[in-house]
Amino acid sequence: MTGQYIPILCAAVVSVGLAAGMLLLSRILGPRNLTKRKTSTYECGVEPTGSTRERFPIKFYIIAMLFILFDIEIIFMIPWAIEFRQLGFLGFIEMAVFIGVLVVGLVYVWKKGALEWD
Amino acid sequence: MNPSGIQLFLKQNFDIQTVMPLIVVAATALLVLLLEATIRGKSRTFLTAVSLVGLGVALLLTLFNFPGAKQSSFYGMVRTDAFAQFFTVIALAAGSLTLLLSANYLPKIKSDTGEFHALVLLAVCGMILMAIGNDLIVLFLGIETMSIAMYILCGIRVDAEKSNESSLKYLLLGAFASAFLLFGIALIYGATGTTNIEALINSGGVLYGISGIKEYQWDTGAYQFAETAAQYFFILGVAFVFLGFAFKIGAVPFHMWTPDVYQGAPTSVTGFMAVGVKAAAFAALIRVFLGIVDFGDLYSSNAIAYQPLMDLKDVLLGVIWLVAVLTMTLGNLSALIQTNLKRMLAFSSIAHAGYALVGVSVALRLSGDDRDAAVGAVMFYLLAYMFMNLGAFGVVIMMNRGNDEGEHLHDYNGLASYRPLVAAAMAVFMFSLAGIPPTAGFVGKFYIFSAAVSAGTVEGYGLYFYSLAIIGVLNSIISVYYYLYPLRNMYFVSAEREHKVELRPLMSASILISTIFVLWIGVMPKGFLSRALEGAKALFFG
Amino acid sequence: MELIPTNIAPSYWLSVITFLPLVGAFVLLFLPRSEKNSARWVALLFAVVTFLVSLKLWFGFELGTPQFQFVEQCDWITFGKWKVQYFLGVDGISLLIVLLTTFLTPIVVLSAWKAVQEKVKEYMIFMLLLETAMLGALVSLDLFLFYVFWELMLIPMYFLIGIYGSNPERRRYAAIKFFIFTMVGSVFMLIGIIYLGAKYGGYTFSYPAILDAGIDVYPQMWLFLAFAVTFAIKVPMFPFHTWLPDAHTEAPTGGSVILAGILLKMGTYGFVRFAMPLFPDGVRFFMPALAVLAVIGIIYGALVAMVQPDVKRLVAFSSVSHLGYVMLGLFALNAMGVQGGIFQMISHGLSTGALFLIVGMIYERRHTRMISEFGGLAKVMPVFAACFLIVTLSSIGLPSTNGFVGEFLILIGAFTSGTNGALSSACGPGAYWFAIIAALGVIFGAVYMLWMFQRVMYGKVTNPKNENLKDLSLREFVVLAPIILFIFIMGIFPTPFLRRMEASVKYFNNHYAKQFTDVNAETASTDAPEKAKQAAVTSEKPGRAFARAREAVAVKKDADINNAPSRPGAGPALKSGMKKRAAGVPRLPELK
Repeated sequence: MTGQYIPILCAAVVSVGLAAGMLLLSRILGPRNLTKRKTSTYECGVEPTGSTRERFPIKFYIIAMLFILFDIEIIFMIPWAIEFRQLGFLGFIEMAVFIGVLVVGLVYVWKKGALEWD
Repeated sequence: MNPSGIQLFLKQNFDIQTVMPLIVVAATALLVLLLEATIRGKSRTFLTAVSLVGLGVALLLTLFNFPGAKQSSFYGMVRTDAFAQFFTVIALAAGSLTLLLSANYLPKIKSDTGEFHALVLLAVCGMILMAIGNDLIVLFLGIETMSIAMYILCGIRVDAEKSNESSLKYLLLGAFASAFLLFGIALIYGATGTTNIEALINSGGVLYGISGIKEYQWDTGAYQFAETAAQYFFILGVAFVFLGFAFKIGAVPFHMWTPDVYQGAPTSVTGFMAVGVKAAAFAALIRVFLGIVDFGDLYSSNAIAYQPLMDLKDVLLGVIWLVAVLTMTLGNLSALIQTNLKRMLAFSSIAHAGYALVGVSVALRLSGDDRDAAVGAVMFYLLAYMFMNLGAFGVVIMMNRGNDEGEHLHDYNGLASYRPLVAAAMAVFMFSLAGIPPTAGFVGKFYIFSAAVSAGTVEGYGLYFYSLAIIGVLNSIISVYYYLYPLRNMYFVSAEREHKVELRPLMSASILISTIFVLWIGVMPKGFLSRALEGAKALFFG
Repeated sequence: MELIPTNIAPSYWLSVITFLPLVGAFVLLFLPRSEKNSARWVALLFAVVTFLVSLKLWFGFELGTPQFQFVEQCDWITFGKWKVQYFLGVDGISLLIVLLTTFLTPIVVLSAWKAVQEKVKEYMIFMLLLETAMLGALVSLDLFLFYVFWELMLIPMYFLIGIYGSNPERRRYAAIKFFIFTMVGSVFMLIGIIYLGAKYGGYTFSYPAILDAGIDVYPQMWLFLAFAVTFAIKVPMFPFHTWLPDAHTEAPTGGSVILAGILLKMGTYGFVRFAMPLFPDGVRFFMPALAVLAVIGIIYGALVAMVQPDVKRLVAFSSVSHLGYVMLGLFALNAMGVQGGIFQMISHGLSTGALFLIVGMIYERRHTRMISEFGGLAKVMPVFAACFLIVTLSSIGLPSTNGFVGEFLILIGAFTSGTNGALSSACGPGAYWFAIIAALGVIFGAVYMLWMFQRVMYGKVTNPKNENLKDLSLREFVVLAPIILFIFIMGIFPTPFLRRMEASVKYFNNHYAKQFTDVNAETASTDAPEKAKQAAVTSEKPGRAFARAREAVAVKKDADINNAPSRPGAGPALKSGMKKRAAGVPRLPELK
């Protein structure tokens, strides 16, 4: 039964071996003359300016997180809206609890001033 | 479906009563969060009071209105038996004591925020979920709920570098462990077709459920269930799940995060982590692994020829034996050389996880009454450990003078001469942690070691279990040395200067409660033991 | 015979005696710290009342039966199959030590009246707690309960040495050393206790039940080792004694008295009560080693005591020597030896306790204990000198003092046993040399005690500081007087004391005779039938078993006392016996 997986093993060995071999060969055989041009970030593109590790305001993170949160809320609400009749009262209660929890979060975020840009 | 049918259906599968403590705690957490955000000029003591009321109500519900034994609900997702009840009580009590300890401590470390209370409550929610969860997915949810709250709690001292480090370390490593756990669950699901522990047992020991691992039959061209592969998948899954749990309980070799995280976190959080997280992780570990071992036994009894899965029990036993020994020994040896009391307690908590693992490994091997006794011993030990360890951390908190002051061993010099009661309480906790009668720690250790020794006499595994017991008591001796050290400083060394140690009411109450329980459990353990045994008996199906 | 009377009349005496000091400690807890005097009085009151109540045991003790008396039995902890009982009782062996404990505690409390000026309340609490722990350990008939009290003894003693010790640096070391040493032994005993409970006690730890169960030969070996190491550390026997001088030197006077008077007896008591009756085969196997260690302890302790410059250290080493006698007496396994051993426990408790009190009294006056600092004290303090002399002579074992009775019985017992008894059966026919060498210890004892006494008390007053020392105060005299009284009572009328232990000792020995008869009968019948036949013909009834045993072993080896114990000679015979036992050869019926 394990014989089943031998082709997969072969494929894995071949692919890993190929990739490793190419990298290794280019490292061994390839000429290496490091000029300033060659070591720059984009050898034939626009000169980069400034550091890539730029810091930007934490507010963006907060907005992004809140977006994801409410996005997920929508993901849950759409199926509920579609199946509203079938899910009935129980579904309604469950959804109310779910939204209630999120509302508490929203109130908290709001009061803490996370929604204010400045 | 007619109305009565719906009600019956609801009763069977959405029995709110079964998760009432959980709901109460969660609602309290939300309420606290809301209050924190909305009420101006807030007094944190008020928030502590609200949280404690919530936990108190949940505790009363758990103690007196817990649904009958062996009741599963939510499609078997949760199971509210006496075992769940026991660990729910531990979680609630640990949360309450932590909040009591924190009330006067948080202002000192300039982290007096309402979120702290809400997070502790949420962590308790996660722990309860781990106690009642009967499905790997629910257990995972519980672990994550608890862990995420703990990650934040560790870093709640935003201006302290160590606290940040602690939080980040815990998060990164915790996420890593969670991934393993989840992968393990997936593998088990792949092999058995279920994540439900009860269903696992009820399957009668048959691998392959709804989504088994198929292999292509070259001769017939059909896809057929790959039995042997499934077995390996199952074993691999079990290994990964164990790895995840081992991380949570801080067992060697997954203990590396413990000292740094414990030392960096605010002390009350450290205490909470050491007892609450550990107890909850043990609850889940015991439930899952005994289920898995039972499944393995059923599988072996069905099998006609040799199957790899038959070795599972022995391999698990060997692995947990080794992990228990390493955990005890490394924890104790490392604690021996610490000069910071908090860090010492962190290492000692590793060692204590090792003692509890001794009981787990015994339980895996035994069956029937003996297994119940072993599981009950672990449960009892965790209960005892909660009181003694939170008490010890309580004294460390009491000695704290902002920042990390008051954690070093020499800060305790001569404490007995100017704060005799605090010193006496600390002495009780230290003796209990060292396992010296008549304290809770002694009774706990005694029953763990007696489980090991009786396992040696009952089964043909004498070498395994006698050596485990002997290594355990040798470790106790090592631990005596470092537990005596704070006592030596408190009692035998005179103070160069008297530190200001404030006896604030809530903190003192928490230490007093812990002391009373440590002594009570030590002298009259009967009631606690019988509750633990009841829990252990409720655990097994069939 | 059943060790526990079948119908137990409810009796609460032992509980009352055991926990009365604890109540006292509890009362003290609520006294304000500044109330030093009331703390002393409360402690004294409780200690004295405990002693008075314990007299009930002396007078109500029924002679002539080895049964446990004043038995109390009820369930304490149940957990699944495991059952721990609250099970108390005294017999002839523990009775006297219980009384010694209740007798010494008030004296110790009184002795600390002036010596302890700081943390008086705590001192008294620790003392009373210690008394409860010691009494509890002595009267427990449940091994778990015994272990609880046994460990509980460590806690107050640890604090007594660590807080009230003399030298601030060394006392911490001594306290921790004491704790760790004792703990190391006892955790192995814990494993042993659990094993006994699980395998032989039917998941209880009841001492009579385990005693009746009959433990298999092979486990007996390591079980005995586990118990024996624990108790040997406490005694302390020769290689385990290193904690003792440190602990004694650093402990406060009261702590030393309790330590020497009672705590060390817990070790020997453990041997008589638990290690020896429970594991007779283990005793037989390890007897040569233990007897040699006991004799080494006697000589070594005496020799080291001789060269001590510090009086207290000298007395501490003398304890090592004296307890060697006790152990030798116990291993003689005949009526005289064991009775002498128990008697010596009591008399050593009194005389060494008194010696420590006396050293404490000098120390209070001069704050030094170096012999070289003193000289000619007899002129300055005549009453003190008289008391000191009596106690010294008692420690040496002068006839008409208590020390004589114990040592004499032990030496006689050991000699008989060595010529024709258990010792010779286990160690070979030259075993009477043990007694002879031990007797040398008596001479050494006289040398170091009298030499010390002479240097301290006689001669001229060389040190000007000693010229104005005050003689004993009334309180100090009251402290010493009862001990001196008992030194003479026990020396002149030992019979009431010996009678109380007689029946229990007889039972204890019968138990052994059974074991030795059993094995040696087999050995004799298989290895040396004709010798056994001869022995059966020649020897008289009482010593029959031992005689046969001796003959049987004699076949195997030469008589050479010097290497007899360590030589394997005794080994094969015993081992072959053991193998047969293990293979299921039934025990002989009990001797009625």
